[in-house]
Parts: sequence; structure tokens; C-alpha cells
Amino acid sequence: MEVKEGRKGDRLVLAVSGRIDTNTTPELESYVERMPTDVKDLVIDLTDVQYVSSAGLRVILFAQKRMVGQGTLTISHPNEYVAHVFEATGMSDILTIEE
Amino acid sequence: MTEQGQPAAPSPEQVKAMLERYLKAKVAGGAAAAVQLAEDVKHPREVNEELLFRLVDAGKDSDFGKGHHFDEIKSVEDFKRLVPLTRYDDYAGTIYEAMDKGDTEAISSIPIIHFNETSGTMGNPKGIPYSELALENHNAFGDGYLFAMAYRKLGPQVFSGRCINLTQVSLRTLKSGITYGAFSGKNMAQFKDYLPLLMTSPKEALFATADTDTRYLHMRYALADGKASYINFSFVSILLDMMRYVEDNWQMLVDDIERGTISPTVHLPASVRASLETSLEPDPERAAELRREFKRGFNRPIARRIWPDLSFLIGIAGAGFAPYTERLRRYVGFDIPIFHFGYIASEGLFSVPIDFDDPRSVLLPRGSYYEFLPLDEEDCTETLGIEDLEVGKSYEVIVTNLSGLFRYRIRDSVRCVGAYEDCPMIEFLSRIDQTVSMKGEKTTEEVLRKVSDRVAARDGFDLVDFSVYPNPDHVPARYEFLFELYHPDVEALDIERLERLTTEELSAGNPSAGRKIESNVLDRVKVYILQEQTNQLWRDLRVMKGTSPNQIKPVHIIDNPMKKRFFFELVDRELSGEEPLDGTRP
Repeated sequence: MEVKEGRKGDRLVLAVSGRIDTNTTPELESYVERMPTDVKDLVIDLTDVQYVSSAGLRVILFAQKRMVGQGTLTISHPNEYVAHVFEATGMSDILTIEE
Repeated sequence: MTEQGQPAAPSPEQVKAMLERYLKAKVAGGAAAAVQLAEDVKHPREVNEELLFRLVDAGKDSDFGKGHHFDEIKSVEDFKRLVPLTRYDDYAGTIYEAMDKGDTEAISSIPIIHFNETSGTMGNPKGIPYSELALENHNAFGDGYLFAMAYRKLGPQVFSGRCINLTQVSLRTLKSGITYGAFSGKNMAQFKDYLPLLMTSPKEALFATADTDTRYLHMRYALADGKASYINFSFVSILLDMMRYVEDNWQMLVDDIERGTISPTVHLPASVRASLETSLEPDPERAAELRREFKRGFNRPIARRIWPDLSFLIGIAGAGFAPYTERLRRYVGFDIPIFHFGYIASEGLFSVPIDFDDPRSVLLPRGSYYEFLPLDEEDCTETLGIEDLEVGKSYEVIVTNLSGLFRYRIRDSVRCVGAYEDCPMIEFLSRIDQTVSMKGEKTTEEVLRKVSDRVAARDGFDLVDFSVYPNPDHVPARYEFLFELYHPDVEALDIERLERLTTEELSAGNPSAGRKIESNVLDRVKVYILQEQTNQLWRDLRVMKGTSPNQIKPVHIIDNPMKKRFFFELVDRELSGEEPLDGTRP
């Protein structure tokens, strides 16, 4: 898994590629943890993510909690499989997902 | 006593005096309750029927009482003739109005002071009325009786230190002014300012918001206090989860105690972090003690090594939770007694234990008016009374409770396991609806739990939790077990062996299911392995959607499409020997 960080104003984009699973989750989590508090618009770009496990979903949930009161989280461009995972688990009820 | 993370930390003298006053009041109240119970159990029917008429009288002007002619009830027979068995829907309209507008007299003339949020196990959360009389009962037997027994059996030193309280409560006030949420939250909220004197956890963990890492907070503050006396939890599975968390994260926890910090990797709202950090102080001495013990490993039970004064554990740990209790032994050993809560539900407190390490409990004749339907007699509509129970038989429980519910089918089952004087002793079995019966085989949740536990023991894996999906669409129908394993040994996993073991254990646990498998009415069991953290994700999502963490029980039977989609989506297809869905697996 790889994460590329892009900051523009109060918008932070974390472009993730690869698999978000038990082994790689800590790395994504560390990006979310050290996110500056002045970020108002967090985007996790999943265009190049093939797979998200339960552990990965928990990190995304953590990012959502982190943004409560601070701004918004957008999940962008999940592939069909990942979008299906969000839908089936009920994550899509609480996330803003851009197809 | 180490005091970390709390504003205006009290002096040791203040703590001691406060604890002594609190304990004295609780023990005295509990001792009086125990005397009352000792008398009541000699003639439970009389006490129970006397209570019934008091409750009928209190309910005669309620919506329900007026609708069922309570003024004509002069005997138990009248009561059973005029009042049908009820369900929540029979009260839903009245309760909704009372929650919304505060007209609680429509429920009962006994003041309703709170609405319990139910666990939602069987559906959406509902409000269950909670009266002043229920509060009295809870104070006497839920707290006082248990305190008094601990004091009497283990000596006054059991309360020399603070409680590691792992509950997490949510409580809100409705526009009618009445509180709604977990009842334990209402009790704790009343002495919120004194909690640091009594409990190791900061109020930020006890009354946590959804974005707070409560496992960290509970255990970081618990570990910081080397003189903690006892551990209180709602379900033992929560304590097990906490101890596993400590095993996996002790270095970070100890580093934080040493430095007086909260690791930046811990999820906390900024304001909570700031508030806690201002009052934290380094404690290198305690950190060195902890580090020494943790470095020695977890093969010997860790609890008494890090909390030498730990006297007992208290919470729900029997029946369905017994497998978690067994797993907890790795951390607490066998020499720390467990005090099992009695039969307690949103509708009231119905029984209390009579000794440590004994999951049996005696019915409280003043806790509710009880009726029972035998589970092995399907067509039986005539209810039995408290004096009619037979040892070894299982029953559905029907209560006329202290808070305005009459002949209410609580949908729980209990087994009569003995008598205390003339009063039945019971063990909670399970929710009635939590039974799998695709071909009439009736496998209870209790059996499914035992099957899972036996399979884990035979195969040597550490089970986090399990779910079962009764698949009627497969030909023939079959049980599908979904196991989540704690740090699974991928190389050692053999799905076919697991399926064979699970089929064997299911057949042994429920011979009816076994016969149906043998005759191909049911197929052999199918096993799937869930991705790690799936059950934690389920909990996180429920909390995020507003359910109180204390009320979230594991999903052991997948009984609706929502649960099915969730758990099957998170099957580890590689470990389960299934084809990948994403096309990226090796």
C-alpha cells in the first residue's frame, strides 16, 4: 500500500493505492492521526485501491470520527468492489462517497 | 492511590474518607436487603402475589389498566383472565407519548423516572419505562446487596482501592425532561464529580463520545493505579477485549504512564486530549513495575501481577458468556473470584447471586411478579407461578414489572437450577428468538456457543467471536459458522477439518440436528473465517449510529438481511478457501 499526500489550502487529499488490510492499515492510520487540525476537507482517494478489509474500514471510520466537528471527509472513486463493501457493511450510510 | 488525569485530584485522606462513607452506606443498605430476601424466600408465592396486587393497584388508572379492567381484579385468576400476555407493541403508543410529553401516569401511578434504551438485539432500540420502585429495587439488590456480600465474604479490604469500571454509558434528556439511555448512566451521572474517587477511568471514558478510544482510556488509567480493588464490567467479553488490548499494546500504554502523556496515535477528540493531558503527571516508578511484569510475558495470569490487591470481578459472565470467561482465565487465573450479576434486563432486576463463582441466582420475589411458560411444552398457554418451577426445566419468562408492564413477554428463557429455601434459583439461558430451527431441530444460542468453543479448543485457535447463519437456500439447508480468530495462524488453518469438527460438535450439542445431518435433511456445516476486527467494526458502526456501547451484544445468530450482508461481505475469502472477489488475491 502507498499513500500520497496532497495539501491545498484547507483541503488534504490522501491518495491511496494497493490493499488496505490488517498489515497495511497502521500506515494509513498514521496519516489520519497526524493530519493537521486546520484541515477542513479531507479526501481519501481510493481510485487505485483494490481491496479494503475490516481493519481498513475501521481506519476510514476513524477518519470520519476525526472530521466530526473539524470538517468533512469524502471518500472518492472507490472501485466497484470497494464501493460494494461500503454498501454491504452500512458504511455508506455515514460516509460521503464520490463515485 | 495514584491519581492521574483528573482535575482537582483529591488527597489520599479525602479519597479514603469518601470511600469509607460510600462503602458504609452501600453495605448497610445491602445487608438490610439481604435480611429481607432471606425472609422472602421462605414464602415467595405470598410475597410475589402481594406485589402483584400492589402493581395492579398502581396501574389501574393507566391506559393499559383502564383498557383491561384492572378495577375488577380481585385474584390471580382474575388477573390472568382479564389481562392477556403482552408485548412491547401493546404499550408502544403510551410509552411514546410519555417519552415525548412526560405524561408518565398513563403508564403507572408509580413515578417513571427514566426510559431504558434497550439493547436492540431484536430490532430497533426502544424505550422501556423505569420507575422509582425499580430504582429502589436496583439500589437494594443491584448494588447494595452485592457490595454487602463482597464485604462479608472477602473482608473490608476489598474496597481499599478504586474500581476499574469498564462500563461506557450514554444518557440524554428527552424534551419531556426525562432521561433516556442506559440506566447505569443515570446512576453514574448523579455522582459524576465523585467518580475519580471511586473509579480509575476518567469520566471522558465512562461518558465517552463516539470518537473516543475508550479501550485506551480505560486501560491506561487502570494500569496507572496499582492499588485497584475490583473490576466491574457489563459483559465479560468486554473485559476480555480490554485484556487482549493490553497484551497487544502494553508498551505504548506503559510509555505513556512513564512520561505522563497520551500517545498521539490514540483516537481522542482534541478537547478531551487537551483536558486530560493538563492533569497527567509522569509516573516512572509505576511504569517500571508494569514493564517488568509485562516483559515476563502473559503465560502466567497477569492481573494480580499488575494489580496485587485485586479482590474480585463483577459483571455478566455466565451462561452465554461462559466461553469468554474461560478465555479470560488466561489473564486473571482462577484465584480471583467472579461475582456474576443476577438476571438483569432493561425491564428490571429479577435475581441475585448467592455466592462468588456461581452463575446461579435466586429470583427476587419483590423484583417483579413472575409467570413462566415451559419451553418443552409448545402448546402450553397456562402460565406457571414462582412456586411451580421444576429443577432442570427451562421456561420463557413473563413479568409484571415495577414500571408499568403487565404480563410482558420479555422473550428471555431461564432454566431452574435449584432452590434457595422455597424460592427458585435460575440461570439465564438466552433470548427466546435466538434459536435456529430450519427443520424443527431447535438449536439454541447456548448450544451454538458451546459448539464454537469446543471447536476452538479442539483445533487450538483463539476465538474472538462467532456468528451462525442458518442457510435455508442451500440444498439441503445448512448451518454456516463464521469464526473470527485472534491473530490466526494462517499456515495451520484447515477449513475442511474445521467443518468436520463443527459438524461433530453441532451433532453432539443438539442430537436432533445431528440426526438430521446424518439423514441428509440438513447438510454438513460450512465454515467461513472472518477478517480480523470484523466484530470490532460491527461494534464501532453501531456506536457511530447511536447505540450505547454497553448494549451492543455479539451477533451470534445472523437473523436479518442487514447482518447477513455485513458479515458475509467481511469473510476472509482466502482463509475460507473461497475464490477472491476483487481479483487481486494470490
